[in-house]
Amino acid sequence: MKRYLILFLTLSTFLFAEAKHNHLAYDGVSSLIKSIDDKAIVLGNGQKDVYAFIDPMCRYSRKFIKTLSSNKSMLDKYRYHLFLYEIPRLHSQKVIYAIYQKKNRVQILLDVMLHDKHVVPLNNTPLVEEKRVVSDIAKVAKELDVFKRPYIIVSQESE
Amino acid sequence: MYYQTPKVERYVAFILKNRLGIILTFFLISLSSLLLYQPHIHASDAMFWLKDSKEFQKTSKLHYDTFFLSKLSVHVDTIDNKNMQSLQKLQQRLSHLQHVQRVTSLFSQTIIHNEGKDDSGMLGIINFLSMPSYKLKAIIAKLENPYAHFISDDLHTFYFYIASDAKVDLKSLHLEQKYSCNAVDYYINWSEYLPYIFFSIVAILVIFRVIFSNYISAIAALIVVSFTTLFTFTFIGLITAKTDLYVVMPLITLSIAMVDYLYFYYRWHVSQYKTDKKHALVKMLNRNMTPALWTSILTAVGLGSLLFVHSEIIRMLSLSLILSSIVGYIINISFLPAFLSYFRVKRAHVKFAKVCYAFSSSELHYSKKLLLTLLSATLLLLFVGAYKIYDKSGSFFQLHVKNDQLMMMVPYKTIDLDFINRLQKFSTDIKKAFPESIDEVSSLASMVEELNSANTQTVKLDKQALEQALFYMDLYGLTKDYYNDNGAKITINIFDIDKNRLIEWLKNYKDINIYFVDKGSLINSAMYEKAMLLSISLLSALLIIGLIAGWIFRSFSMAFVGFIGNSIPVVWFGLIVNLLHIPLSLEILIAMTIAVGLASDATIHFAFKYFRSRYFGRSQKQALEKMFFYAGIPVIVGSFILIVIFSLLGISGISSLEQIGLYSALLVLLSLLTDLFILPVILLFVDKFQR
Repeated sequence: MKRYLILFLTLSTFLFAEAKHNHLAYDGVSSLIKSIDDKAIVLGNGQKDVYAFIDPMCRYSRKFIKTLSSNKSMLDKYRYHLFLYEIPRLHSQKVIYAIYQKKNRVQILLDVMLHDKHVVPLNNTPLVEEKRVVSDIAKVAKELDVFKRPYIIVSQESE
Repeated sequence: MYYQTPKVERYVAFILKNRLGIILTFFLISLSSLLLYQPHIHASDAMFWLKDSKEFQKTSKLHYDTFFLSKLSVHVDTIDNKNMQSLQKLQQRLSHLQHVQRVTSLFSQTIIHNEGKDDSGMLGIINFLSMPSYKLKAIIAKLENPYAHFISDDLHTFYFYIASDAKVDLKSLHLEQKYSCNAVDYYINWSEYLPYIFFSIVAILVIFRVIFSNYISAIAALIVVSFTTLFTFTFIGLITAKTDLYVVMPLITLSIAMVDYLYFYYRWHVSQYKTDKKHALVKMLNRNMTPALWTSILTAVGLGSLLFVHSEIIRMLSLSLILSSIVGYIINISFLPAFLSYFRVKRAHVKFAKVCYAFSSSELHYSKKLLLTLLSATLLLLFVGAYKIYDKSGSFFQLHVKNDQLMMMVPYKTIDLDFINRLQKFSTDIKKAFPESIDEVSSLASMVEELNSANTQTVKLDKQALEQALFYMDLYGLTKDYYNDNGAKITINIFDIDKNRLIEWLKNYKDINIYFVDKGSLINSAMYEKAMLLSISLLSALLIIGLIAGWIFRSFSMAFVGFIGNSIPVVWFGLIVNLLHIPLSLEILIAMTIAVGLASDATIHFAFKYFRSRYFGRSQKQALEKMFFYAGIPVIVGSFILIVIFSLLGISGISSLEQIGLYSALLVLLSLLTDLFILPVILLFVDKFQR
């Protein structure tokens, strides 16, 4: 009985433990982000860069996009580099591939996130290129320990 | 000297010959003055204090916008859903009023939180303005309510702090709840003033009619007072090239001109008891010209030095008093005899004049011990007051406020961690310096801290955390409330404090440069800066008046009479003000200026009449009777009229004039009591003819 009790308590510590997350120094964060900057969907034309990992199906990411896209001054002041990064439980991978397949990614992204437009990948299977983009973003996201969406990094470089 | 009688017969003949021309000339000059001099009349003293404020100049240099901060207190009987919704609506309506820049209240507050718990990195904002009533009620009911400074202790009064560039029109809101607002009128609303002016004129007509049994005394008084006021301020405008005028400043000219006029009119009136109207004019002039001239010289020299003091308020007050005394004198010896020469008094008898015989009899046998005790107490109070002013420990320097707000700007080069840490340190330091007095210090640092606490993506406040906090502030439109391109805003919510001590602490704080932007704090700061100067100015004016009085009568003891006679009302008024914890204001200074002007006039007129009678061999009793009859009655009548006018002002409901009315009424009463009960006794005490 005592053994089971010890086992239960040990397992409980895993249950209630607060996850520790890595916090890289900004220089490290910056170089990682810049390595995938060409894969970002860019919104806004401001002077200051904001990098955001979002999931198009995540309600909070949607609120984030809705709040800033409806605010002209936010689009004038900041330039958003959006990286689509799936929250596994939302199963949004297909939508992400579909967005990356399109030429007008910004518009499609806004249609999906603001107007709940249904999109599917062409031929129902992603191309190698889209796969590479998604996997590159995921790789950097893991290194950065992106554990929430939207996950925001604001450029610390002077404007 | 007092024993000489000027020969005025030729002068009176000249006046009589040219009386119409003289009268028309005065009316023509007044018409020209009205056309030439168009003052900007202010209902508040704010502008005058701000002009003198070093802190205001410092704030203006950085081009920070300054604004008026008023507190609207709204009372609700119960905290129910209906009232909560109504107050939420009020917050919105106030924000949309003309001139309003910002409204802070419970309903302008926000709570920052993390949206969702598990996988959301999004920060959200809960606005109290749209919060359901039941949640608001729960927050208010909390014992440890962090928003306590927006609600009274009994939870029935809600405070709205309104920052505006002009007075806000709350009447247009048609508030259902009981409310009060400490906002001051900055611009004249003549519709409020006209009934008061009308009632004052009626009061003057009635009082003069009752006392002198005619209307011409009142009409002449109104003309003399109007001319004196108009010419005085036209002169001030010409000399200083400034057209700004505080609406209560004419009260100085009104008081001086009214009492000066009464010395002349009264003599003309009673002289017709035994003689014809022409001879009455001679008596009016040869008995009053010299003492009235000396009172003008006394005022001009006594207060003349104050014209060089680097303060526009002191200059304006001194100029008003000096010029009204000189202008009043000129009008009384030129226009008044010309005007009165058209009339004759049917009943030269003056009611209540016999009262002066009662005064003479009772004061003749005064108690030296009591007099010396009173004079010693006055001198002691004067020294204690002077020490308290030097030590800055008197109530003049204290401004107790409860549930108040103070707004400041802090310039920055870049918003970085160092700047945020300095703001944070400021918040800690001020709370440490004033424990339990400061409710909340709202600044960029407090908002950044709140945002960072809610942000699960960041832990300690590092550069990235700061950048994210600033980003969220932009995202939710909070930036404008906390900083702009020129500086960061700090709002201090005060629970209960001596605001002057707080302002001094802020001015001397070294770690950040603080610039006051609410005009209330700037005015308080200016008053505090000038309080010492104003007090020294008043004391030096009293000393100089005493010295000149001594010189006029060629007597050291008269220097003492001049000094103490003028000091008594001011010193005892100062004691009352101190006991009631009333802080310094322009209203108090104006009331004191009026008191000094009236007291110096009375000292000279009383002493002239008394010593003249004594010089011509009259007994002390006879001299006292003459003094009371010829100088006492005009002072009693003049003071009574002024007390009535000022008391009317005190109950007029005009916010900017109520205080000055009450202070002046009290000071004129104190001056009158000094003139009737103390000055004659001091004159008896220093009477050299007795020796």
